Amino acid sequence: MNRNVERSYPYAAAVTAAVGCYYGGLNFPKGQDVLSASITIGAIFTGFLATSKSLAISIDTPAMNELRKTRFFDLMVQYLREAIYASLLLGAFGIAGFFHDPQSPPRWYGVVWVLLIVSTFLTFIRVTNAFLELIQSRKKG
Amino acid sequence: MRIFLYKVVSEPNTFDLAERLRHIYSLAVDARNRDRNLDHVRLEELREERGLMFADFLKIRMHHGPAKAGLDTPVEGFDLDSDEGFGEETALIFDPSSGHVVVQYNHHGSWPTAIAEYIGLFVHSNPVTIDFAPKLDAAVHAKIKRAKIVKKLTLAIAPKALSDEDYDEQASLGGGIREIARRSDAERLEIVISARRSRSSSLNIDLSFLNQWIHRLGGGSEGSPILTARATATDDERTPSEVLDLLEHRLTSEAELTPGLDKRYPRLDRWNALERAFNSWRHLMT
Repeated sequence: MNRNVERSYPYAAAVTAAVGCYYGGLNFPKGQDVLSASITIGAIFTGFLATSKSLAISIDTPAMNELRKTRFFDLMVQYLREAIYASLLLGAFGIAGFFHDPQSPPRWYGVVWVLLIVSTFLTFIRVTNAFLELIQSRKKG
Repeated sequence: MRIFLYKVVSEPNTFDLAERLRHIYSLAVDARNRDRNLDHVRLEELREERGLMFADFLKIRMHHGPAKAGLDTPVEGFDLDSDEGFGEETALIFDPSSGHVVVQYNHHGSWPTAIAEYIGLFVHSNPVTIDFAPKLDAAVHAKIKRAKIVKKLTLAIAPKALSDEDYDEQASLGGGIREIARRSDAERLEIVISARRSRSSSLNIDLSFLNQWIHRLGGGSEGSPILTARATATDDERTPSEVLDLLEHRLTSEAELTPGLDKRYPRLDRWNALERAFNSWRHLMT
């Protein structure tokens, strides 16, 4: 995969999904459950990613050390940062939803929610894949 | 003893190497020393005869070295003071008129790059970039072109490490990590392809094409992933095959020397061998 693709695909997919939902007439679920679930997902992801962050700093394997010598390490930190902020935003957006009447959320709320959840998932997958590959390379050496 | 021929390339090119050598030699012995890594390098001896400059460079190995051993005596170390080390000598002849140097190859001694750096940086206030560019052997090049029957091919390759160059080429993070994962921990990969042992068998390889390919990959230059490339080949079945170095067809000469009682090659013998090689190459120094 080209790096430009790797950089942009979570957001490209999120925007596509949001636009699709806007024109497709998304029926955003009413009630508080979906908001609580969003907050939980955001919080879990943020927690997991924050742990990964400390792992990235402290892990001491040949593969990681080699990665650290190059700008790929900065790239990994950048992906981690984006994933953390995306999950934080998702959680915060869920909380913000409570300030409006949960029984009648405005239409744009559902669209932005789709945007955030897709980018959260995909940025999470992107950085998790990198970590899994690193773990696999560790098994070898 | 192996001998190589180099052309002196200096920046600025008005630099007078002969004058610099004379200046270094005019100093006291201890003032001629220069640190190089853990060791010291110095111009030990300089003589001018027949329009040539005969120099002998000394490397003092300070870190560690050999022991003294006899067939019926236990091995023992040399008795050295803390400011003494093991001396390794490298002879060199400089021809000021053509700008060439002939250098002895001493694996443990100073290598041409180290000598060039020593001379170039000796005067701190006036540093000069000197490069000893190896002279290539046109005869080997012609042999590679002629050699049709290849018996054996040896290639040594340094496996690539992940670098910022991959980053600049728009590699993704996943691709970069997979690159690391696929890599073996080997520092050097050696591939040997040989034909069957019968007289008529050979490998179906076009050497001159392979040679071009290796040079296009930067073979022979510093930082190239190809560490060695050698072919055992001949141009027809009746002549015995010989080893051709595809990486560097460097002009080289071999001299048989008899070590003195102290197991060193005498300086005069080394200079004489260098001068013989120099004279045999005189027509190539353009």
